[in-house]
Amino acid sequence: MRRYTHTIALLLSLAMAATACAPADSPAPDPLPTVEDDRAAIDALMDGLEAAYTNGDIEQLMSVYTEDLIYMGASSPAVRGAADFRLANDPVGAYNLVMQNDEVKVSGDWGYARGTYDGNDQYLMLVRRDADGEWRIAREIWNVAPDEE
Amino acid sequence: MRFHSAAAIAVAILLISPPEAARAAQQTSGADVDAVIAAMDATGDALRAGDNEAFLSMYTQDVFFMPPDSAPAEGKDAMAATNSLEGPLAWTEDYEEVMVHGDWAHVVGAWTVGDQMAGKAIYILARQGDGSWKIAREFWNTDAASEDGQ
Repeated sequence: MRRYTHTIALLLSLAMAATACAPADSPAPDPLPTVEDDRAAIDALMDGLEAAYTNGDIEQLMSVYTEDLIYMGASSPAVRGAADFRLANDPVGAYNLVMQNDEVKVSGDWGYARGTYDGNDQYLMLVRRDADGEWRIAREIWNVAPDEE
Repeated sequence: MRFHSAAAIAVAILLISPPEAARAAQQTSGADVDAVIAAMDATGDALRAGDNEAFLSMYTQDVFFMPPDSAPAEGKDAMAATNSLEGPLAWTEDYEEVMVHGDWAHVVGAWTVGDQMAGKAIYILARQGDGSWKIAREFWNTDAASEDGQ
């Protein structure tokens, strides 16, 4: 028991010494993003999508989706992967898309955003933090609301 | 040698930042994923049986249910008022992706009703206090335009 206690104390001393020996002038690592940071980034992602359509810019549009995206538009088969999505959307018809996230939930490197676009039309997107740290749309489904009487 | 390994482990434990350690792992297999699939299967069984009570029991009270060409049903009462089963459906489902993210999960899937309709869906499920899973958000649409052009 006495030897065990000594071993633990020695291990802790070694660990503390290793921490203390880190170069004093090494920059502190960037803090990990908070959930609030992630939500803000996902809101900004929708701003990027709006800008891509407003500008009619296919490269801007592609930049907000993951390479392995699954796009589930209403009344059409699903589109899988960035290459097929580009084929289906190039050239982008420019128009003033307006998006509004009504709900955003994040857990680790995945989240979802639910909201409305162009008034009452509805979307649900699964978003993912890619290896470069950027959030992108990985799965998307949307529905057009009926015309208001 | 053993001492060196133990020391390395102790150092590693101290140097791991708590937020990174606390980040939720994404699961694509295991007991939680099996439980999510079981909930989806139970929903499909209810549709095939035309069992409206069993069907509605698979949804959370705060469900957001979004079929095509309709206003969304927000809350189970609204869903029950507008999306009740009137009888058995020739329903089939296929899950392309099932992933658990802590207390929520997502399912990406496809569905058919007989030979007449086919489509796709994304579901968000919420873990319940008893460990079961219920559908909290559901969007589905069809692969082809309906007869009224929608």
